[in-house]
Amino acid sequence: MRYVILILFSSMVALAQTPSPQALVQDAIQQQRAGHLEAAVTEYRQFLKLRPDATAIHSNLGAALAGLGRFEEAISEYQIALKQSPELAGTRLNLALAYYKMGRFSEATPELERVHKESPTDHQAALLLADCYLRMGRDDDVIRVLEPEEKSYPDDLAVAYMLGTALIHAKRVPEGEVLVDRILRNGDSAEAHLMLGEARMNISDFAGARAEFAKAVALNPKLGDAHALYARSLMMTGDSDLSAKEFRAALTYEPYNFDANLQLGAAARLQENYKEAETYLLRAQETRPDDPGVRYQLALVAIDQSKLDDARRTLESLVKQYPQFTEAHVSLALVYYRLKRPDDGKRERQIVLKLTAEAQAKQPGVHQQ
Amino acid sequence: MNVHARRIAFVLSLLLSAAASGQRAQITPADCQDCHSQAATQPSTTMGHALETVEKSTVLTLHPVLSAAIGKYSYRIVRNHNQSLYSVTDGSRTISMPVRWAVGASFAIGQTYILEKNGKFYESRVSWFRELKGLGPTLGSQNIAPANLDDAVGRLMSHDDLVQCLACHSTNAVSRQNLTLQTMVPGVQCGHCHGDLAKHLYDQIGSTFASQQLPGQAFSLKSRSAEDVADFCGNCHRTWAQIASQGNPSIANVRFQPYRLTESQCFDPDDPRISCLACHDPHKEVDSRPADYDATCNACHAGGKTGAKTCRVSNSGCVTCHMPKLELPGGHFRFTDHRIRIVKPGEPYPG
Repeated sequence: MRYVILILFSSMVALAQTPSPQALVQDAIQQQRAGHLEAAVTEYRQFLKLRPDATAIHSNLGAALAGLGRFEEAISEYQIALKQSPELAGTRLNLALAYYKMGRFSEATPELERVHKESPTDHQAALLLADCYLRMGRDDDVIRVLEPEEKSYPDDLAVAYMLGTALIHAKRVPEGEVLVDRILRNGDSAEAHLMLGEARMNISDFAGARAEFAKAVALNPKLGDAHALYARSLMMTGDSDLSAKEFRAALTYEPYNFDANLQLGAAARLQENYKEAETYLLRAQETRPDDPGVRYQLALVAIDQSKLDDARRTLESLVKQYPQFTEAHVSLALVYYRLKRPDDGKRERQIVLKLTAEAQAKQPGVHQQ
Repeated sequence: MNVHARRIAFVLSLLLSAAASGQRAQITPADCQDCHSQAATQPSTTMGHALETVEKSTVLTLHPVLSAAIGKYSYRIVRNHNQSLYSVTDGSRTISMPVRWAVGASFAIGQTYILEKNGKFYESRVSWFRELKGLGPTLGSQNIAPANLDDAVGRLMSHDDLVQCLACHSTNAVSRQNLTLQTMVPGVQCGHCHGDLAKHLYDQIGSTFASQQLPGQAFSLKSRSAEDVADFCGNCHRTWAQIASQGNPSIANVRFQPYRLTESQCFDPDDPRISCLACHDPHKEVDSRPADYDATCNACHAGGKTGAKTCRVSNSGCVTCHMPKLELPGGHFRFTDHRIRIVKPGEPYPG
């Protein structure tokens, strides 16, 4: 699926005062069409120095940057364009897509909601919006968006997959099963195996899930999420080598796949490849800046590199924000001891013991003494 | 050829063969003995035997036939020349697999077998225990009934399981989470704790010993703090951080000594008098005479450290009261609890 919308404003170019900007922008458009995105970016930027208010060129530059995987820069350009012309639906869709590709679903959602509201028949926008809702656990919203789509596109497996999943999550199992059956009846599809795999993951049947996800990626190797799910099942069954390979495959199709970046970062740390670990983890953090798991892994990388003050700062802020995060308290205790602050270390250990005792008391069959 | 020339020739051959194979060099304690007397005693310790090849397994050699009936399954490990075959039967069907390695505290406590069949590795469902003088359920599987005969053989080990197991029980079997079985030296040998021995030997030719200065390379733990040493030994014997993160304090953690030690009231992270090495020389077998540890306790508790109380009961045999031996369920061994404390009668196990 390609959502990139190249907006050509030849009329605006014709109005250019000097031939130089016109030549620049025409060449940039040709470069972009020919797939020479780096050259296009350079020329668009040169043009924008001369005409910073050229809305369409900001939008085109955003598309070229997105094509290069430079989503953060693309987002800035789209935002400038939309500030100048908020009615540009194509640019808004591109902005949403850039957020989506970075895994920043909560930021993609309001943009997609606006596109969907203004263009309710835009099937791609509806699908993307539903996918964002699904990833954020907003099952009722998935159902609301996709029920009309399902009537218009009864053969679309992506619709059936997302709507079926949301209906089952929302305890509307019989309705969900109708859609699951449709996917399964449709033959050996990646969506069917993904659905079966996720169901097995939910009941901790990791070996079963692994088999289903393997079939899903074999049927559609371009599904980044399928690779990430397959990788996760491989990790749960103890095959970290293959798991890393699949996480890397996920990143080929979705460079900002959060799970893949996080897990590869954690694995690289264990292999003492700290630079590589930081690269993955920082990319995961771009997707979810406040995710405690990523921040914790970054703190561990800092500990391993003896950057104890960096680690301390990260861990202190983590435990302040998530006081129940036992592992963060454990690592913070370790850092305090290494920083020769035994009293602080002891205090953290006491917190760990308290949290552990509380967690244990909540386990079924445990009697308090 | 004099000793120095001999070493140069040895190091060169070592480096050349390592370069040719693309692997790290395989160095055994025998290569270290010329300079380090510890290398003569360490290989015979229990740690030195933490992993034995089937060919050299002490227990399997001394007990050519081992058998046990557990539930509806019967197990046998039979020696044939220098190999052992592990079999389990339910009476109608039998599965056999060759033993590849024996891992554990060997002849001192017990050992579990790693079986290999068709390129896959399995952890045996039964283990040998010294206390039983025979086979019993492997620790952790004693309360779980096998689902079928395949399950009764043992647990299929994943790549990660094998990495975790061999990283601690052998030397040079794992590099950056990858298995490097070509260079594996069975058991915990010099290179396990002292880092890149090839580099150390290479430096030794020029008498620079530069590698000793590198963090994580060949180094001595003697000058390290108690916390550093507990973390170092805890890489295999479990650190406080590892166990505390698991969040399930129970008697099962009694065998994780660094964790237990750092939970002690008297543990001072900066004081080497409470480090693992204050009591244990890893190059020698663990000392089982309680009186031999008195001097370490008295280094602080006989007036050597401010705030360290003197015992009103005795100034000898300290560990017999303050470090009780506790039975690990299913372990068939009474482990010394390294959480040093005043033990009160009837108190629950302090997890």
